[in-house]
Amino acid sequence: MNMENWDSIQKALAERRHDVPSDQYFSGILSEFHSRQRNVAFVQKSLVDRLIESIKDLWFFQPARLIQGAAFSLIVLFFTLNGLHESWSEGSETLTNWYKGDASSENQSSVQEQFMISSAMDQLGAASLNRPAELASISTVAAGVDRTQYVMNSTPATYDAVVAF
Amino acid sequence: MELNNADLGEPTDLELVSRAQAGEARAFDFLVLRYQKRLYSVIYQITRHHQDTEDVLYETLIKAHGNLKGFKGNSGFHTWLYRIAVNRSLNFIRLRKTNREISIHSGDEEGEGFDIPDEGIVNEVEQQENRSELQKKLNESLARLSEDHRTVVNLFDIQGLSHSEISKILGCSEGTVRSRLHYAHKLLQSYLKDAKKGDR
Repeated sequence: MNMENWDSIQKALAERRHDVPSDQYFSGILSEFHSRQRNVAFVQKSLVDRLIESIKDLWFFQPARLIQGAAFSLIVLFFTLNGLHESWSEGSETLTNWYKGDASSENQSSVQEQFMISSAMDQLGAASLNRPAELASISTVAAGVDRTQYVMNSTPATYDAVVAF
Repeated sequence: MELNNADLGEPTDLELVSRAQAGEARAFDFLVLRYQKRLYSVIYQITRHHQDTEDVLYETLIKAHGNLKGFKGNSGFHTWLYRIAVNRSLNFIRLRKTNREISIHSGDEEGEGFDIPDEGIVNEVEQQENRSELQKKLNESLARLSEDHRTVVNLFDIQGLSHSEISKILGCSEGTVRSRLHYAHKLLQSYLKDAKKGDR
């Protein structure tokens, strides 16, 4: 082969144009191009954009779920406000009646019952501690003091203060 | 999604570009199908490495798609596309060469895995035992050419583009293209003569 023959050199050069892979390789070019295009677009997006997109992708950010969530919130809010309104109305009515002194017999009996129970508890507590009932609800423990003195109706009263309650 | 010519009625490049500019994604896909092999060939003749060629090819297509709005039609679409491909290929091999030099200077042994374009071409020659003798010598001779000379030979002798098209792709005058080409041919002949002498 005469290498100095320029025609043969040019022909050899022109053959190099076909130095490409088979058609099978090129059948996947488009899909790979689209895939790389998406990757590049994703990378080029700013961090803020990506954050917004991530938030949008959260399950509750879908319109249907957003509507469901809003409806549920409204229902909960309605019942909460309704309950608050009712308890407020009831409370203010009781208070008004109390001040006016014309509380219903039902309320009066309820208050009396509470006083009776409280008094009975005081008696029981005093008996178990061996001290006057009027002092039963007072905490009397002091560090380093084994005996505590109380004054009741100007008369000193004592009891063993070793028990704390 | 399979596209065929009948589907789009063999439109011209400019028609497809207009449609792609208007947002028709399939129009650009058709352009990709039309030019993929030619682009691959142009890039491969510069990088001489299939994996690198693939990467540069996709870079070229993505860049072209991104800048499509900027294409005014002053030159042919294929010229514009080749220009992007050539620029990206040349940038790629320059970067590869720089990385190689940095690796050598820093004593990074892993850097030995990089291909210097010229050496890569020589290695390629060694690997292609089944190639004709002339092609082997041609590879060696092309590897000895400068980047500019190799590029004009690639575009003129291998791809078959005209002087005018090459001048638009490289952004230089036609006179410069002719001059570079003339000098490149002379050098090629000279190198091939040397190779022939070496065989004796």
